[in-house]
Amino acid sequence: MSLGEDVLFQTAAELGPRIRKREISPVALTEAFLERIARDDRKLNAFAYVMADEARAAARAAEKEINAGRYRGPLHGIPYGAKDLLATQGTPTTWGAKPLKDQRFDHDATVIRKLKQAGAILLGKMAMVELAGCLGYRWCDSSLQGPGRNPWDTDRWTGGSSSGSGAAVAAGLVVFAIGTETWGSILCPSAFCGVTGLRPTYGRVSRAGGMVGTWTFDKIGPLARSAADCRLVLTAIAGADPDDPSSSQEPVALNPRRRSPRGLRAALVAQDFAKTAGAEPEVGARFSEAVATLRSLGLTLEETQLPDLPASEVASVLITAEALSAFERLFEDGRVKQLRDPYARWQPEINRAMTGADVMKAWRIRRALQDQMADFYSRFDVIVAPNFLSVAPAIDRDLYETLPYADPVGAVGNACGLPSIALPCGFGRDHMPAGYQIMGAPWDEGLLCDLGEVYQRATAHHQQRPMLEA
Amino acid sequence: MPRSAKNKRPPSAVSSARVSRRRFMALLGGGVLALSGQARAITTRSAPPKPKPKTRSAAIEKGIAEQKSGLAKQLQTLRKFPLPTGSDPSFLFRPISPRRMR
Repeated sequence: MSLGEDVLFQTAAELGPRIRKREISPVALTEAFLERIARDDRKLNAFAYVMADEARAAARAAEKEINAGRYRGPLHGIPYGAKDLLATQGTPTTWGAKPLKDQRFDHDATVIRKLKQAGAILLGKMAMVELAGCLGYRWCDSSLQGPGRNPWDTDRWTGGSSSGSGAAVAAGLVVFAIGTETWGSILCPSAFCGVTGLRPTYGRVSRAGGMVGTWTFDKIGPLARSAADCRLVLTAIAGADPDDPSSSQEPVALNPRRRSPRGLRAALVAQDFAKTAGAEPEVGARFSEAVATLRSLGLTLEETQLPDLPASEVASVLITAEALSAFERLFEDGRVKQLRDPYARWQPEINRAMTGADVMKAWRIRRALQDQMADFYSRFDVIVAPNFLSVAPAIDRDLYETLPYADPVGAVGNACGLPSIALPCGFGRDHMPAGYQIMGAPWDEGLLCDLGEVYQRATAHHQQRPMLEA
Repeated sequence: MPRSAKNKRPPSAVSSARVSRRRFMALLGGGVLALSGQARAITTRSAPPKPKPKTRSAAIEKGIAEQKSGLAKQLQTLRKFPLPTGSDPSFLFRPISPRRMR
């Protein structure tokens, strides 16, 4: 049975019932995705490693189970990709970094294991910025796999560091993908590639078997075609894990609860697109339209400011300090010199002025910021804010020049471990995707998915898809 | 992770609480001799150390200077930010009980 291209752009929520009713065969679906990957991935650099044989075997097993009446749930038979910093038994896990190109593990990361239990079919490992950008990067090609190419224009960047995850979902190479975020690495590729991404609360998803870039900022979450799919995936991967002491015992309550945002209070944290260097008015206009749509759906929005604390400085200093420690062996044995970013090897020298007292001060300000945000969320249910202020930049440009603006909402969100959903909201300059975000209080991913679903029922931005040149 | 040579404990690691005064003087004398030997080696070095070959381009030097400057601004902001004396950090330290006590 040959499946048409449209099937490859369906959501997991659409495919699942069809697989359950045996209208679509997991084997045929997997084969169709593998064919598309073979045809299109060379234009995108989205995959670090395609697991064709393993995927075919998993698809056959899924089909056999489903035919026997043992349907595991909404991800059974659904093909996906996982960022190449999650361990997969026996296959390469490169962390996007040349010095680790031959790295293999003898176990699966907890997230991979949970998705396997849910019956999802792993098509391969997704390309990423080296070491998830934790040592910084200035150029789009700072990856073992080369620059992530955007399916909407392959001369533009996908965003990072979950580059391949964003590109593959947008291009119809996978139904969903797993990404990670330290600061911006799910939200950025979601915005630039026009997909829906969910950064969960810190501790919501076990990081066991994942690369440690930082201990207190890293989060694992889905990039998908809809908020509904983000909910399905997060439901499968969330929860406490004895192998990850930072995973939370907080109950996982992700079932849909609201079909309307009426009665909810949202803080509108706008940014001045006209006065911010690098911000594009077209993206600002799309954000304004999204806000108008949310208002028309009944959400109460009140323009306000975030607490006036140096969140960007806190996040930046702590991420740097943690990453320098996490990757100390690469510095000690000189392998850091193999990284693509020309500044990575000099990071200890660049950061020599940072003292232990500075790091502790950052930790203390982080606590004050958490307290103030807890107070903030007693007055508001969610924050509505822009995501990136411009569309994806050209692949050969210096990121310091193309993305010069600050990310105050992302700084607060990641410093406080808050969840956020990235939603497409149309197109900016040169018909490149634009997006915005809704950020919630800790453990409120269910509410973010509710609001995302309400927004996506009223709009069709998330259903747009790129035409890849032959 | 192998420790760097600088962090190695000195071979004479002071387990010498009961060292006799004579032994103490002998150790001290040995140390002085060793130090003076080291000093002689330094002063009699024939040629100044060669400067390290330059491995960084002007562009890289400029980028490093920019990043150092950015960090300096960040640190200045953090250092100037007022907090109550003794305010808590985000993390909580917890002792870990031995397994036999659980």
